[in-house]
Amino acid sequence: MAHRDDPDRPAVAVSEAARGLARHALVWDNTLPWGPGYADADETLPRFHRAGVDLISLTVMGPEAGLDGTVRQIARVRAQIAARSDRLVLCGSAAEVEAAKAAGKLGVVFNLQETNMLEGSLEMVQVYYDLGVRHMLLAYNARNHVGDGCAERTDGGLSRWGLRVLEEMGRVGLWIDGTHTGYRTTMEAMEVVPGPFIFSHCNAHAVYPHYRNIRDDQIKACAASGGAIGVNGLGEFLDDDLARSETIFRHLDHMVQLVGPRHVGLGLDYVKDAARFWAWVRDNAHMWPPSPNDRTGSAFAQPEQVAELTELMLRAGYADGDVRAILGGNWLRLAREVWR
Amino acid sequence: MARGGGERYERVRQKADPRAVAIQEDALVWDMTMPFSQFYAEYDLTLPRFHAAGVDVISLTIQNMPGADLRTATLYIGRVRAEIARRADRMLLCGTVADILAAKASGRLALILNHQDGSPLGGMPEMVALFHALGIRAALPAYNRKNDLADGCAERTDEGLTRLGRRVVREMLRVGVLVDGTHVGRRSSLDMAELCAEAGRPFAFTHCNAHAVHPHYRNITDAQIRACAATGGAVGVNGLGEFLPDVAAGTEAIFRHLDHIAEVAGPAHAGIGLDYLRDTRHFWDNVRATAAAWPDPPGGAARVDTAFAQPEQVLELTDAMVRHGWAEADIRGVLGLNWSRVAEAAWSPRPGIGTLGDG
Repeated sequence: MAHRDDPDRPAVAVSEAARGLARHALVWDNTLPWGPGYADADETLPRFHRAGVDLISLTVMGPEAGLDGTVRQIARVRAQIAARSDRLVLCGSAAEVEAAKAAGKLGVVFNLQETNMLEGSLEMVQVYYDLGVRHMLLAYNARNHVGDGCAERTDGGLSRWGLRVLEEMGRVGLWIDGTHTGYRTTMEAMEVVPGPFIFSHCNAHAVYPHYRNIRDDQIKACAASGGAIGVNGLGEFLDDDLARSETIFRHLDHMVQLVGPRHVGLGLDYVKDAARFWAWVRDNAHMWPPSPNDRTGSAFAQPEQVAELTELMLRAGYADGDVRAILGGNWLRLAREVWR
Repeated sequence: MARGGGERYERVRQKADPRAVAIQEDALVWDMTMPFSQFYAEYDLTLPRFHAAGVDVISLTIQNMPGADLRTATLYIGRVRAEIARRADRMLLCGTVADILAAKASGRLALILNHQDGSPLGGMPEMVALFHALGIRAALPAYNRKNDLADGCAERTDEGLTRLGRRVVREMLRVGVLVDGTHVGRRSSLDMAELCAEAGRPFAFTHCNAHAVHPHYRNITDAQIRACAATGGAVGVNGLGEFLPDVAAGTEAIFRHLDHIAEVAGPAHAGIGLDYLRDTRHFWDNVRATAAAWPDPPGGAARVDTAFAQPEQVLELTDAMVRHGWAEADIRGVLGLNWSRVAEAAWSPRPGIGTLGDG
């Protein structure tokens, strides 16, 4: 199905079987940027819902604001959701996610792509959780007080403060997210965190060695923790200017072959205003050093590609149950295990 | 109930009419205001003392003086929530009257949170719902001084609510935060009462005394008391010596205000909002340091550092009501049932009322 925002991308023909599966399964996209300027509730969210997505994790803030800006954006997005309570519902538990789907509403949770908005207060972990945040990543590309980001000059481990943050996150019961975080910082975190660890939106370094993609031993450690990795739809990380479903599937399949279908999900990272995103990337060169093949300006996977991915999984012989797990069942299981 | 009481409580108990003791130790006792900024928060000293003195519910004012910004207020609410959670065997942060009754039934002190001044909102009406989600159940828009929402009661001017102030009050009414006129200027407070009446929600003065008894700018006129009562709301009598006026903050002086409020509005519209803090030195130093918020009291005499009513005086107040021949039902109302009625009506979720309009 073409869409006016769609790049000139050859579509995968989707069978009835795949379309039906995507419609009936609980489909969970674990990342949608939703900071100021991205929070387009009346176009993007209905489009995801029509494309079969039942739960979407909104990044209410990334590295661009501290506590004040983050809390303000959470207040705005909560008001945005409350004003559309016939269509949208903020979920806090796996049961609420299932209830949202049953009621025909799009469920949302919040995530934060940074830890700077804690501003030195461990107690803010609980505050953000109580306001709807269900995962937080440790560092966004650059170094922060917790550890190194994945694009940093250095690859150090966790700080003392970072260890305390992890402990508090574990106590509060939100998902600890290694996306955008440096290799050693994530490997150390997976050693010290007793429960499941996730990468909400990451591709495979073995398929394309971009600094934003994660290595096989990170994928294995994540799976060993009981966690999961959400495959990402940014052309830049896929090494595909058009962000084709086949390319996304190559990353997804690499992870499935490596650790099995119970540890893979979706974290598409769709951005409608791609030009805005790329301008931000150019303005923040310390976070976004040149990538191997320089695909700046490449496309983002579109919500309708969820059905195409379902088709490709079925064509590759994935069992229905495994496809359902990847589409959303794995994130639901982890919500049940970790959130409290 | 038998909560141990403590020495000070026992002394008051010995002197009190047994009928007063019997009523208070059975009643729901609710204090609608306790300063609880970082300078006054004493989880293991003041809160147990109130509990031992028979108080079941306390509304904590969790705000730094002078008015905290959004960031500071959010960090602090996180601190307060964590401190309360760490003492879950003794106290419970409550969001509904049902929570409060459950806390009392389990022998724990029930706590709710309030903000005095709209500064934590940072100019955003959407922050009302966010702070509500974190436990704020009562708020007032302006503390003594003029701000972006309202005029304060100690201000040179006496204007009504601003456009933003009206949006914020309407949002409080939609979300279910008790609208409080304490510290607010007369006209702004009457605007608030009108918005409450339109929405069918009660309006409160959580900790105010009667201007007719003592003409301090912090006390409210009979017209304000009546406007509050007309919405089904209540006025919480205050224990600060300067407003009574009584340098020792004695119970008889507090009772005079309570009696006046009950006479003007009926006993169903009076409650307790003691405003106790232990570090009175800090309070008075701060008052002297913020002359724009705290101009001199009436009468031209120099300000003296008066006392604050002590938690054990709640029983003395009950005793005074008994000795003055108040009906038991009225006494129970003042002690807590009036606030529980007001809270039920103010907090019930009503998503249908209005949206974030233009004020």
